[in-house]
Amino acid sequence: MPSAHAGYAKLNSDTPIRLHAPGRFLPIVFVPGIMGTRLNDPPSLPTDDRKGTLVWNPTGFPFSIAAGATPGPFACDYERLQQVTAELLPDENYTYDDKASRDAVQHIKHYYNAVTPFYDTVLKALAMDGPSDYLAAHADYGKYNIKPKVYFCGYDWRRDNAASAFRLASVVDEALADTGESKVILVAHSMGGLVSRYYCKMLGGESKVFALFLLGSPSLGAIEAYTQLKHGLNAPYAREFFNTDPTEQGQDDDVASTAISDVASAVTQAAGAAAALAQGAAGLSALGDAGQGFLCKLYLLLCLGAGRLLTRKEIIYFVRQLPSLYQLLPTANFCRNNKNWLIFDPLNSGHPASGFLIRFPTLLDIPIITARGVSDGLDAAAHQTGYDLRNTVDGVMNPGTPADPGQSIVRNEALLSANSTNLLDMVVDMVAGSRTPQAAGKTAAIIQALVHRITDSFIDCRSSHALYDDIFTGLRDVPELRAISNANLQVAYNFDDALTANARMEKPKSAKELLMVVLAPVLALLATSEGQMKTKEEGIADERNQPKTYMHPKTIVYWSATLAVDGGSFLLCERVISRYDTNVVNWDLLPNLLGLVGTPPAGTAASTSSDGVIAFGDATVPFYSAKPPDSILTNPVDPLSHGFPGVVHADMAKSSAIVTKLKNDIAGLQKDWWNQ
Amino acid sequence: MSTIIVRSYDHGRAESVSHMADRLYKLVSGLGAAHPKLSAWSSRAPDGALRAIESVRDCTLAIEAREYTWKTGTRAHVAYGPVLVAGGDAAEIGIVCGVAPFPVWTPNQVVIALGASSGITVKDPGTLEAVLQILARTYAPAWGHVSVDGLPGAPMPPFANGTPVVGWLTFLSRDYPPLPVVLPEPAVARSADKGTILSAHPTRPDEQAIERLRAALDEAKVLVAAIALKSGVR
Repeated sequence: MPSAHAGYAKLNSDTPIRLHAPGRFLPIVFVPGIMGTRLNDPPSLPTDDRKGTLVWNPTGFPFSIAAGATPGPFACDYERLQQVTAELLPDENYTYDDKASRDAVQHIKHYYNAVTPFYDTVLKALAMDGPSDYLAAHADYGKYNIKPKVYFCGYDWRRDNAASAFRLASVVDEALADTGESKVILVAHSMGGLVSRYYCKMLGGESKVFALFLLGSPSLGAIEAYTQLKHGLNAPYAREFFNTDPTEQGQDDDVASTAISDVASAVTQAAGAAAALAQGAAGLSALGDAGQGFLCKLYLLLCLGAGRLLTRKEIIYFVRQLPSLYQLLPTANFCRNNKNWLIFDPLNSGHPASGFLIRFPTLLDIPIITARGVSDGLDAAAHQTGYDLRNTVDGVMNPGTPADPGQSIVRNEALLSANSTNLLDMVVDMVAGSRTPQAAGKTAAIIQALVHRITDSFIDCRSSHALYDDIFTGLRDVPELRAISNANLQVAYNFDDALTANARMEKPKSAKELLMVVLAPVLALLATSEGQMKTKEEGIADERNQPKTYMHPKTIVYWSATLAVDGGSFLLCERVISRYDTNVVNWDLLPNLLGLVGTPPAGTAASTSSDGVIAFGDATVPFYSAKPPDSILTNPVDPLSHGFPGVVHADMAKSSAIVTKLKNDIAGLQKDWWNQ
Repeated sequence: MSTIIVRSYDHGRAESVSHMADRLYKLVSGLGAAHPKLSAWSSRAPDGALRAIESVRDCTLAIEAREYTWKTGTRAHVAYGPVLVAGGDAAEIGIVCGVAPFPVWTPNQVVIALGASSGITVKDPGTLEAVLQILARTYAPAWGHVSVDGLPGAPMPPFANGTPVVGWLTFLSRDYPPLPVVLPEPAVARSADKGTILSAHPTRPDEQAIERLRAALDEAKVLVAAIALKSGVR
């Protein structure tokens, strides 16, 4: 068993003395994110024709630089991928066909599991540059010839993260057996972070993991996951191709029979050349650039694999089969103490209505978007929520047109506003007790926060009491909310009962009912289950004593704007999180974490107020999602001034900088390990 | 030592093997004229075996050896991916060709990687422009560029929409909208076969100069997706 003082010896003293070289470099295990592992049908299949068949290789030839540059041919088998109960295996059958490329990755075990264009850069950087590069900042170690060994932990990313964590356990054990070390360093990207945390906490991995690096991991859930469960993959569905939605008109068969090669002509015939350019094949081809959701590319790939357009219903059905996607839901922190806390019931999940765009004219025209999940800005979010509105309120909304979503949204807002005035006035009066611009702005901010919170909290289908408790967390010290009564709580619970009775309700019958859905949490917040408010200090104590989110003791979180590990974009914030930092309920930062959409109303502060109530700006998704508000990136809140210890913001614009920092931090940890 | 890659893309072109072989032979012949280290090419078979390219026939064999089929649903497609190397690791050409137009941006492309032993460096922009010229002449791509040390990166089909990516040197075919009358200094435009070559900076791959050129082209709505071109996605 390797000693914790590997590389040292004791000479008649309790003080370890280093004799010649430090211990070997701890093995690095890289855990990819969703869609990041190439998958095969297992060799044990009963039918010969599919044994070992490549099922998922989205960047294979011809969608690669050249033959052999990305191992294996393109594969995206829609039929097999949606059969989630049948496990697929990480593929290692295809390799680079030139020796130089193979040699370049020989130190990366299971490299060929990876969807290589996503992870090639970071894997090679971790494995190939050698100790001199790692230890550049540690001159006293730079002379030692120590080669880090990197392991890629591929897994069936469709399945329950718990199952994936077992695979990670086996790869960690393999790394330890290979190297003779007692611990590994985990570097996880995206959903791989959830897998890693589950492994550390639930499978006893903590004792084998020296440190855990999270690269853009949705530790607090990915807002987009919810949208994609509800709507599919944020793709330009047949609605866009045909200027109507065949799925709403019983024309699914027409869509399903449309071969992908025929799309262009269909678009031309149905929508005209101009519309085709705007909505048709360009939309399909531009999916990769659109960035509307971290899974949106999957729609394109599935269509290519299936050879036809997939209908909206099909794609919603598809994503609802993926346990992993449920585990990405906001507030669905996967690694809570109870591994079974998350309700997984894809076929019976009646996701309550939660996505609406509403304007509150009495509250200084603040747009509220409750269905987030679009990271490309307010317009894109409005586009999406505009569809929600049209789908949701029968006979109330002007349906608009796909080509003109903006205008239709404005019309929808106006209609809603006209119906909302009285109710909103009531809420404003109750909560703020004042109609001064400042108070109204603050009230609006509170309501916004509540609306977002309820959106997030609804989705994990918890009980109404737990739900409201959760909503209430972090907001109960808002002075304006202290003047509340228990009566309001009953109102809220009554509403929730009604909502529960209509658990599959996706279409409130009127604008008023729609508003009630949104405002129910406001009413709920007007009371606590105990009937009294807690002080801020009590709240802080509560939160610190009741951590919600497990983190490995040495967890280092990176977010980066241009992290090349997935070719996508992530946020620009680095945080070091301790074991008991829940990273969601820190009292003072909570309002910032909630993240709000919209521009600051006139007369209100555009940034965090002194009591930390709210942060307006060009936020499109909350701080804790995979893409933060630009306002936070460009003008980050000073966390230290909010009593959030150990938080460091870093502006690292380029992925190379991120990788360099990652390596430096690994080197630092390695040094810690040697010095233990 | 910088890593230099010259790339070009077209938006879908189903061709006969003989036609593709003819293009390939013209390419490798032309490259030899651009730089002596690029004069002797060999094709690399999937098993790693090298075969000297001395004729169109050799190119035909190289292409046929790398025929791949892939499927969308039940529909079979064909693509070819010959790989050629010169002077050991001096240079490599990776090609995807023969992919017919498709509702997504097709990945037909030529990628010429110039290794350290090629002797071609960023100090030799004339040679790099010559390579891009030859590529434009022989493959008639929609666009191409010279990338240095990963800047700019390559678009990744099928996730990209085929919009040109501006590099130190950038080729744009005549299919694209007219260039702005005035380019941001020190960028210049020079006529090339079937299009224009834009140089963001005369002597070095200056990142800011490239960005200024990109912004100017973007402002002038030159950088359009493949779908917006007559030769684009159909």
